[in-house]
Amino acid sequence: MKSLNPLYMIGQAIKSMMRNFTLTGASVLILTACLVLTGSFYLLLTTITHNVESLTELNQIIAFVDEDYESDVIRVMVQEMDNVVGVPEIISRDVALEGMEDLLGPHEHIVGNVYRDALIITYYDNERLETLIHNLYSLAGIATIRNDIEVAEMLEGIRAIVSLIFISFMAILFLVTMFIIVTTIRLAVQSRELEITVMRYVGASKAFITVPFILEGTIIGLLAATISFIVQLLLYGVVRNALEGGIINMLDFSAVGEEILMGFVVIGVLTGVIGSCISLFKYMKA
Amino acid sequence: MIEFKNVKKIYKNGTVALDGINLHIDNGEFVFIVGSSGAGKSTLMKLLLREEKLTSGNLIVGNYDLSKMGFGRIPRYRRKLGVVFQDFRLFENKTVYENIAFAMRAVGENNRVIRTRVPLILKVVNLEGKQNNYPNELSGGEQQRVALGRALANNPDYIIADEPTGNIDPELSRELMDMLVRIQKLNKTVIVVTHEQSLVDLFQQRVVTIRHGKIVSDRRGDMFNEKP
Ligand SMILES: Nc1ncnc2c1ncn2[C@@H]1O[C@H](COP(=O)(O)OP(=O)(O)OP(=O)(O)O)[C@@H](O)[C@H]1O
Ligand SMILES: [Mg+2]
Repeated sequence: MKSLNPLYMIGQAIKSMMRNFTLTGASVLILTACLVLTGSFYLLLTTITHNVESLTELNQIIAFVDEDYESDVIRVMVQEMDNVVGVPEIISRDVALEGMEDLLGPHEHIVGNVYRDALIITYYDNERLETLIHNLYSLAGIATIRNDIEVAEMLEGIRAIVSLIFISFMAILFLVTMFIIVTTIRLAVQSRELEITVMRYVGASKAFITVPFILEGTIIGLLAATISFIVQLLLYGVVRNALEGGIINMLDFSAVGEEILMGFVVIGVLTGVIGSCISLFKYMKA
Repeated sequence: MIEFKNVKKIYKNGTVALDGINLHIDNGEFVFIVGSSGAGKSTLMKLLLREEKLTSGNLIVGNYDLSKMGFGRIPRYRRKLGVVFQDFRLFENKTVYENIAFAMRAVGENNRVIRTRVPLILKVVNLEGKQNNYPNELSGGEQQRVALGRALANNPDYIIADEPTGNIDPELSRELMDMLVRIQKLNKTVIVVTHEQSLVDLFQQRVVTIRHGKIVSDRRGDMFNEKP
C-alpha cells in the first residue's frame, strides 16, 4: 500500500492557506480572540478560587476591641470560648497605626490614633464559626469583627456568576469561530473543487483528499493557540503589575502557564479539526 | 470483464433511467454506446464509475461486484478505470506534464515512477514536446489528448469516455477515436458513449444502442464486414 506523504499533505495545506490568505488570517485572529477571552476568564476564575482558598484556609478572624476595654482581659475571655485554638494574638493600636502608615503614608491630617486593638483569633471548625462570631458579638468588649469568611463567601458568589457568564459567552464565541472556520475551509474546498473531482475519479483515497484540509484546520488552530498564549502571557503580566501589592493575591503565570497552553492547543486544534470536518462532510461519506 | 445482469436504475425522483440492462463486455473489447438524449447512456457510465449505485440487479467489473461494494472500496476500484470527460477538466495552471502527474500523485505514486511513466504516456497520446505547455496553449484536440493521457496515468484496465468528442470538431474526433483504438490494442477495454453516427460507422466496432433505459440492439463489430 502506498502511504500518504506527510510533507506533500502539509505542503498542500499551506498552499491552500496562502491562496485564501485573508480568510485564513481572519480565522486565526477570531480563534485567537476567543482563546484569549477564554484564557482570561479562566485566569480570573483561578485567581478567585486561589484567593477564596487562602482566605478560608487561614481559619482566622480578627476582632477589634472597644477602646473602653482592656485587650488583655478580653483576650482571656475569648480564649475560653468554644472553637478557639490557643491564645489570640493582640495587635495593638500603635502597631496598627504604624502598619497603616507604612502602607498608606503618614496620617498627618488625622489627629491621634483612630485604630483599635485587634485580636487575631484562630479557630478550628469552620462549621461552628457562626456560633463563635455570635458569641464574640455578645461579649461587651468586642466592637466589631472582620470576618474573611464573608469575603470568601462573596468571592464564591462572584465566581458562580463569572462562571455562568463565562460558559454562555464562550459557547456563543465558539459557535461564531466554528462558523468562520467552516467558511474558510469550505472556500478552500471550493477553490479546489476540480482537483477533488479529478482525484476522486482517479481513485485517490478519502484520506488523501481530506487530510490536507483537516491539516489546514489544525494549522489554523495551532497558530491561534501560539499567538493566544503569547498575548495571554503579556496581558497577565500587565494586569499583575497593575494590581501589585493590592488585596488580590495573583498567582505566578508559570503556575498556570502549562494548563493555559495545553488548553489553547486542545481547544484550538479541536475547533479547527471539527470545522474542517463539517466542511468536508460531503467528501467524508463517499 | 464487465457484466450487467438485469440492472435497473431508478433515480430518487422516480425517473427510471435504466430498465433491465443485460450486457457482457469482454476484456480488451471496444464498445460504442449510442442512443437518443435521455436514453440512459450517461447513467450506465455513472454506474460503472460507481458515481451512482444501481437500484437492482448485478454489476460485476473484473473482481469487483458493484452491487455489493461498500464506500470504502471505491477508491481502489476506480484505479482500474480511466475516465475521459467531455469537458476535459484539465488544470489551467498546470503544465501538460503536471496534469498527467497529478493523477499519479493522487494515488500516492512516488516521483521516480512518475518521472519514468509520464513521458511514456505523452508518447502514447502523441504529445511529446508539449509537456511544458499549459492547456490554453493547446488546440482542442491536444487538450482532449491530455485528458486521455491523464486517464491512462495509472494504467487502468478500462477506459470510460462519455461523449469525449462533444467539444471538438469531426476531424479531431476521428483522431481521438484512432487513439482510443490504439489504446484498446494495449489490451484495455474501451467504452465510448457518442451520438456521432459518422464515427460509429467509420470505426466498425461493437455498438450497443439504448432506448428508454433498455438495450434495443447490440451489433458486433465484425458484423459491419458482413454488410455488402
Ligand atoms: N441525477 C439524476 N436525478 C434524476 N434523474 C436523472 C438524473 N440523471 C439523469 N436523470 C434522468 O435519467 C434519464 C437518463 O439520463 P442520462 O443522463 O443517462 O441520459 P443520456 O442518455 O446520457 O442523455 P444525453 O445524450 O442527453 O446525455 C433522463 O430521463 C434523465 O432526465
Ligand atoms: Mg449523457
